[in-house]
Amino acid sequence: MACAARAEPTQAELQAMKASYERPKVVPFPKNNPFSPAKLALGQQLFYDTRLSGNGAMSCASCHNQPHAWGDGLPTGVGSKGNRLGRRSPTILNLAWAELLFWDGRADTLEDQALGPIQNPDEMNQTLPALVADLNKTPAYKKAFAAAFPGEAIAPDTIAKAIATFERTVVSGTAPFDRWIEGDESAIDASAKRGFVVFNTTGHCAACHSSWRFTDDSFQDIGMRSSDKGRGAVIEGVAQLSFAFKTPGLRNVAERAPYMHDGSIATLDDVVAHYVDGFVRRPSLSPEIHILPLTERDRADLVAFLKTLSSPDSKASGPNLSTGDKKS
Amino acid sequence: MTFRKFVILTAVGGIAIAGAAYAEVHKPIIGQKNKVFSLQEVNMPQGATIRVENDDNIVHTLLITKPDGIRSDLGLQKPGEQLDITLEQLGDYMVRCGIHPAMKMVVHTR
Ligand code: HEC
Ligand code: HEC
Ligand SMILES: [Cu+2]
Repeated sequence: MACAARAEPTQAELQAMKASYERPKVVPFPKNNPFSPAKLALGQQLFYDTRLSGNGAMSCASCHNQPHAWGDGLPTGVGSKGNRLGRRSPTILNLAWAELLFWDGRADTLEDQALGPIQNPDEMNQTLPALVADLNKTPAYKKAFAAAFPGEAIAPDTIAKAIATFERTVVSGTAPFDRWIEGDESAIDASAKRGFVVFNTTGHCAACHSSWRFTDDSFQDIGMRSSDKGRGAVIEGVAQLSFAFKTPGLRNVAERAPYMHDGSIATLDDVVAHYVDGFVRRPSLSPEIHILPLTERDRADLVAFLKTLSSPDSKASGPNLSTGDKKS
Repeated sequence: MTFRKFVILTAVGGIAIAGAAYAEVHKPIIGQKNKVFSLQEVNMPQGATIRVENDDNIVHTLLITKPDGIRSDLGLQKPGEQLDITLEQLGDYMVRCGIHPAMKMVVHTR
């Protein structure tokens, strides 16, 4: 294998690259919905409750399921009537730090987002009055709401706040990559270390997948062959937003194939091949996407690196409440 | 979590000036270099105008959520272009880029 043309980074350059990937110590909660253990317990119960669907067969966890790194492992979601949805179910990991929600950024906050799937006829197909009535009939819920929201009614607003609180605690755990960032040289192998450098230099990945979450929350057209206009349908008249989707974080990415908003790429090797030269050229294509001069070895190293972003908790079967400091 | 430096622009410095007159004289210009607004928190009198200038080398857009919750989309802003935002309402204006939503600022009017 010929040597890549790129120069190895100096020790100082490598340290600077690594510094921007340090994990935060606390989970942020908004001022208008601060954390409380009672809200978390209620939100978790609601997230896993099939009462939230019209036919009582589906919960949020049907599509955002921890063993699939909080996605569903399918190319696109499947609604409560067995119907196919137009987009893939994204992970809900690390959304406490997210800016806008959905592939096209149409929701501002987790609180705004939570009531959407419940009422969407293609997803859970439930009505809010029916859900509120059902929860009011259930003594355990009356108690849980009273503890989480003293003096407030069981209402769409309090349902949304509780679910959002639970979602903010869904944080990816410590991965081998994090242990390497913390200084354990044996945490990841030489190929993954080279892959990290490719990711930050010749691969140009960090132009969008930056920070410890591996996203800058921006909307970009990376040249997928799909007719979905994405953010371009939410904000009209901005050519660069046609076919633009939210840059997903890459934590636990190896555990949640298939990839992209339409689930059209099956493996991480194929994702890398897409970025090397497999993208569609069109006016909206992000200026950060261009043909990459990567060798076979660079590509393998990139994939080895991406695999070190998986934390063991992504395969656990129960709700993950062990990570992160719950105080804001 | 990253802790951004919050720069407070004290608009009136204790002297009460009518909003419109103030805006004519001092229209603060907010830059957008490196996908960051040059100020992330701004205090302005109601009725004043701020100017947002794209001094970056990439395009941005401006999405505004007004104090009454109504949103407006000022559309594309190419490098070198300026857009004015007149602050008719009292309260908090949330301003962010629709392409790079991590780029955001809040403008308080009073
Ligand atoms: C039928 C499958 C399904 C169910 C049930 C479901 N979702 Fe989703 N979820 C999706 C899909 C598909 C998307 C992406 C839709 C889009 O972007 O247009 C999504 C997006 C999201 C997002 C945005 C993630 C991001 O990164 O922007 C959040 C948060 C979320 N769902 C939470 C929930 C909650 C809370 C519930 C229960 C109240 C729920 N979902 C129920 C399929 C589902
Ligand atoms: C211009 C910004 C940009 C650059 C540069 C970029 N990405 Fe992406 N990445 C995105 C966006 C946007 C998506 C989602 C696109 C979609 O679904 O249509 C994505 C999706 C992905 C996914 C799938 C994640 C998932 O959950 O579906 C992986 C893996 C990925 N990128 C890795 C990389 C690697 C490796 C590189 C460098 C070779 C790279 N990206 C460069 C913006 C970018
Ligand atoms: Cu921008």
